[in-house]
Amino acid sequence: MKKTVLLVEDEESIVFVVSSFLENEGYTVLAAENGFAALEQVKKHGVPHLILLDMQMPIMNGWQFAIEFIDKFDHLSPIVVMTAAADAEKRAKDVTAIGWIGKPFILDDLLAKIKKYERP
Amino acid sequence: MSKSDAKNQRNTINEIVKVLSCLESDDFSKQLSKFSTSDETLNPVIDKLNSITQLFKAQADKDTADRKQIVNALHESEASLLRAQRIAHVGSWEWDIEANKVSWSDEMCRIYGVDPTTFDFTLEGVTKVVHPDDLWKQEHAIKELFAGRVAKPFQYRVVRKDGLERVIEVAGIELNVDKAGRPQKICGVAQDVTERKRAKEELERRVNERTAELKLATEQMQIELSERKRTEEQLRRIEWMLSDREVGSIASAVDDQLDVAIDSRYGDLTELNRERTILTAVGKPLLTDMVHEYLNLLETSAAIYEKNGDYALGIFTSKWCRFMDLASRKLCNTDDNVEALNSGKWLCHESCWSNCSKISIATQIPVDIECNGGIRLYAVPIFSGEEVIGSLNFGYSSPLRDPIKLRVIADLYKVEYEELCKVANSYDDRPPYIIELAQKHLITTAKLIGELVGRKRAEEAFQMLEMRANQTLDNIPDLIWMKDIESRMILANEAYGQTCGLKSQDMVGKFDTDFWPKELAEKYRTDDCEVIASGQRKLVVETIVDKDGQTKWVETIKTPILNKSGEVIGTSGIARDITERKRAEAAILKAKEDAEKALSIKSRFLDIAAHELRTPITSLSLLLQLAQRSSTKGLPVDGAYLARLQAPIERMHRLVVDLLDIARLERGIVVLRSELTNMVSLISGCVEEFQMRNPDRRFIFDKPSQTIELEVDPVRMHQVISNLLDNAVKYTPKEGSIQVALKVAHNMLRMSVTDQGVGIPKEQQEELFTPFFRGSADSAIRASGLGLGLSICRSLIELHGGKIDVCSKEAQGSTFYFELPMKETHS
Repeated sequence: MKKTVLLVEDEESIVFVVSSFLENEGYTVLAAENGFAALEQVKKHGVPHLILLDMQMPIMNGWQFAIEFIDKFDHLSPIVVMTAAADAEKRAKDVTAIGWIGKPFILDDLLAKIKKYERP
Repeated sequence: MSKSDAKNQRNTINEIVKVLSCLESDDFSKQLSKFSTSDETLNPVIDKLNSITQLFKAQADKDTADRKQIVNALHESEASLLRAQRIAHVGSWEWDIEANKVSWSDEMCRIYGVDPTTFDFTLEGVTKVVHPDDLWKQEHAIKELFAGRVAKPFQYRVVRKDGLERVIEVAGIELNVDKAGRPQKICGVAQDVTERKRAKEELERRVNERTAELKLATEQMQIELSERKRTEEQLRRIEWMLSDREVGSIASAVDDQLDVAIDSRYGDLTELNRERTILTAVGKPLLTDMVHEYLNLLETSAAIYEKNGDYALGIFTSKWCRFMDLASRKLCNTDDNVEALNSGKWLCHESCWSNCSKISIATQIPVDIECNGGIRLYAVPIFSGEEVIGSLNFGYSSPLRDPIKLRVIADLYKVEYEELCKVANSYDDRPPYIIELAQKHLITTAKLIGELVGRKRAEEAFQMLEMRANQTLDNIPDLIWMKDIESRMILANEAYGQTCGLKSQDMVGKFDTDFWPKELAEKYRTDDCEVIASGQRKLVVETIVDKDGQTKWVETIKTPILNKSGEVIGTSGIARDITERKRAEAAILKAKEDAEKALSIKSRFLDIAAHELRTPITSLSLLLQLAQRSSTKGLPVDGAYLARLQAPIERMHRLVVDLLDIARLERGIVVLRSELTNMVSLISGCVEEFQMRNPDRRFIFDKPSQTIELEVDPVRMHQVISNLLDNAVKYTPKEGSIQVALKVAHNMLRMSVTDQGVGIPKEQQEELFTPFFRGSADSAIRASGLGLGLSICRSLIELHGGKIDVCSKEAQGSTFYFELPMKETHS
């Protein structure tokens, strides 16, 4: 059975590339352009095996989403923060994410992180 | 005679002897009657014995009677002795040396206050009652007696059992010796002389008292006598002073002297005074008064000289002196006084100055000489402190009477002898005590003049010091003042006066309420009171308002002024203008805040720039990685990938353009290419452009009916409007509409863009237009871009001479607008 990755990212081209890549690698990718849409996706499709979370987004940003999600589902889905900020690691800690990857990144590195942290 | 006879006789004789031996007893007769003898030869003896016995008996009876009488008399005598002893407090005593037994008469016991039944009548017992300090007297007496000398009566104290101390005199001390010359007894009498002794002492005391009183009375009398003598003397003096003499009353004499001094025939010599130390310090009227004090006593002449010999005062009360002075002045043979004084021929001047005062100045001691005119002159130096500043002299003796001497003087002064005699004889002799009194006055006057000069000098020195101090104070730019305990101004410097627009001397005696607004004056008084109460200095930084209404910052130090006993008697203060310093401090503080703000903005900008640049780079990188993967797998690269490269590149380009713009605007090197532009079509073009790019958004533009043309840079204006619209799109939810308006009012063009976003908090509105501002980092609504847009807009609008601003209420959206001035030609 295919594993599901929830990709929360407002930058369209990133969503396009990461989705194409992960689907090619055998994942089901659920994309959301902000935190609010991401919560909708979880409601609709259930808790994913991993969440890739951008921090700066309109409507509902990464922090707000993480709070809401953990409040509802605890750490059922491991969260990996994707950020272009200099203090990526700190941001990951802020939202009690399991891991982080700084933008820009290599797709193979991303895949390795997903494999490492994804829920069985 | 037979042996038996002889034996019988012997027996009879023995019997007789026996009888005779009882002769003195009463039963002698009985014994005799019992007596019988056989020897008749003895009868005549017996008879004879009987008759003798009878005789004896008669005699014995008589003797017994006599003895009884004697014993009675003896008893009586002893009783009266005891009585006498008792009355006279005289007791008798006896000491049996061998038995160490002391016998005392009753009176003895009474005197010594001992109980005869318990008293230890031995030498030791007696010794116990004697005062230990006086015991030696008793021992001495005993020694004297044993040495065969007479023991003199002595007194010692005894301490009685009842605690009384009595003085006892022991007398009549005798030593009895036996036939072998061995001492047997010492006896004597003792008398209580305590009262007598006391009476004697009392008597002595009274005698002494009387003597002292007498002495005192004698002394008192002597004092009274000398007092009376003195009074008589004084009376005589007063009488002399009141007596009418040559010049008449004292008052007229004074007037006369003044006339002489000023209107004398050769003029007033004090006008020649160049030194003027005494003359200026004391003044002519006071000098005249002082000199009169003793001239009135003597009716003579006096002169006061400055140190250099110049006249501070010259007065001739004496007719003699006037006569002689004028005569000697004539001898100078000149009208010029200076010439006359220097000629050496002015004999009176020579006497007074050269021979008398000059010497007293040089020697610093009084000088007493006989002058050329034969009068005794007395001069004393005048001291001011250690320095001699002049001399004061007077003539005190009567003129000469000796005809020979008068002739000599007449010859010397070239005057008529007869006339001279006439003047000389018109004088009374001055009593010596008057001269003495005048001399005392003279010395006092010299001291007084010296003191006055000293004070004057001190006063001048003080004034000089004060002047210097005031000058110094006036040269200081700080406000300096002194106030008394009621905060009344004692001193204020020029700077203080200038601040209040007053002359500093006019402020003295006034209060703060006279120069300062009420609130300030009250505050100053409160501060003064605090300093006075605490005795501590106080530093305050406060504001004052000067005469021009300028507020100045001053640093004020108020200090208590203490008197010698350490009590606070006022306050002194100094206020320094620190306005410039304050201003500099404020500027530094502002600069610091600005620098900190700039630093924070810069670091925020770096964060944002990193994110904003990395995001399109990420997109590019990912798209290229994807393309690379396809090519690696030998698959054709999807054209869609390449098409997607456009957006991030465009975004990066915009960032670079914005950064360049802001850099140029900040450096002021942006040049507007203004041309007459139709604002309506410019705006509607922009709106249409946005509508095309965002087809799902609703843009509303109320186009004005008339054409509005303005001299603007159309490219820059397009940039501003696009920016405003771009923001509105970012912040308005998809379902909301964006309203664009353009109108002209009061010669101003006003263009506005209203969104339906969340609105902007008031405190952020001010910072919206500063570079790199982009709302809060935590803002839920992400604002992409560097936050340079509005800053660029403001700079561009300001370059066009207009202004840009925002109206916003939270949750009600915002309206960004700019206003540009319309030129007359286009209105």
